[in-house]
Amino acid sequence: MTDPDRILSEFIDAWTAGQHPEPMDYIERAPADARDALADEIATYLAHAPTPDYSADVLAELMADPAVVELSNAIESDHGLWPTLLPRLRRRASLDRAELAARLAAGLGIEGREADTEKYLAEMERGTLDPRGVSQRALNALGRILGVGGQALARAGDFQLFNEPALSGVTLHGEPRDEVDILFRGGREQSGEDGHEPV
Amino acid sequence: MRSGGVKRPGGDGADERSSKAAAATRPLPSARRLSDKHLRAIPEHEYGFLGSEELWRLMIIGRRSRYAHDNKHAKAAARMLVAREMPRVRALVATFRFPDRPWVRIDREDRDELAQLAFIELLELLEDFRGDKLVQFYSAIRTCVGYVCMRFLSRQAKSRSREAPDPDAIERAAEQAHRDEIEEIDETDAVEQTIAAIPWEGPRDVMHLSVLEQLSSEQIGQRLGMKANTVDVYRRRGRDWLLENHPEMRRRIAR
Repeated sequence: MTDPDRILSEFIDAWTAGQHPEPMDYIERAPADARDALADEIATYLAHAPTPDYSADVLAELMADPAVVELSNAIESDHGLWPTLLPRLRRRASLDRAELAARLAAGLGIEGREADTEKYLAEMERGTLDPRGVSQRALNALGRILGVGGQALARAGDFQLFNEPALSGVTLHGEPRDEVDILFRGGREQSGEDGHEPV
Repeated sequence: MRSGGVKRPGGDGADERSSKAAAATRPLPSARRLSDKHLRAIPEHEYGFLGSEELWRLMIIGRRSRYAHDNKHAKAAARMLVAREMPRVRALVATFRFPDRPWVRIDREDRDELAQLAFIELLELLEDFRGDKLVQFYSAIRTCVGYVCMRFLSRQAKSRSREAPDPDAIERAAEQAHRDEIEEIDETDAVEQTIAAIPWEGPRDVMHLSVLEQLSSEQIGQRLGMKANTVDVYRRRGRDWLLENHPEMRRRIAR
């Protein structure tokens, strides 16, 4: 059956039955020239459709979904979202931490300080570095490598649903000593940096 | 496949289909709502029975409250909300098409990450988002998904091709559109609250469908089981009350 109207109806039936249907399975059944319109119709439906009445079993399955667990843990955490987000972004970029540190050091013009950069990246991924200390310049450079905006990284680091920005478990380093320390612990806003890059 | 879902009449045009897909799911106004007091009294193990609107409201209550138990309930509500709405957010990411370049899609392996980012955008709205109605919540979900996907794809284009359209300009446009849409949702929230204050049920329901859902008299009559001239009488009564008590609504009513 390739009639877009019929396919949309089947998607709606599956959605209301709580089967959380995969849209692409439906969109790809439509003729090529009708797929974009069908995708738009499914999106319109999803923007209004009631959430299905999930059974207890389905709800338990949804609660155990890795993406849900990860996000829920991040919401509960007082360490912002970097521990959730940064390792995932790094893996997507197919980089280990040392490679990321090398590229970041190059991007920041601090070649030769890769080891210190890697140490700070590890703290960011563990959630033990105060996000407010990381400069926007460092976040913008990191975002360029990972394919996201520096402002988005800042927001993810600062994210706290119910608490004040986080600080329990943060590693105490003392006063910043040099350029690398300042980049990662000197504070978000620093003069003379490219802190206005869009998201 | 089960056939108990919303049945939609057939239609040839995409616009017609889209409006029908949306119309088929619109809730009727005047649905019963639990008060904040009742919501706060519900034990966490029963949150699975709550709808997304109630869960969202519990989060807003927790965000604004200084009591630890409200905060704890809000976290439990957030977990349940994320679980219930993750299929919707993932599906919206899957259907995303870049404006004017519909062949640009989100790869399957990027979906979970973008769904999480969209949730983060959504949860950040708690700070100053006044909307606490389901329709506004769903609108906000779609807006956040669109924003996150556009930003992600424009970044991807930037890293892959020097010939791609200026991705920074696209991002700025996406950000502006996102802000505009959220402001629109907020404004709609204020309008909805004002309409809810109309003291008569018939005029209140008619004005809700007319102003907020932009339905014609005939469509409203079908939804509420009224004759068109009854709809017109109720609309006039509702308009008069709004103009007398809330003259700032004049522009919105005239739309």
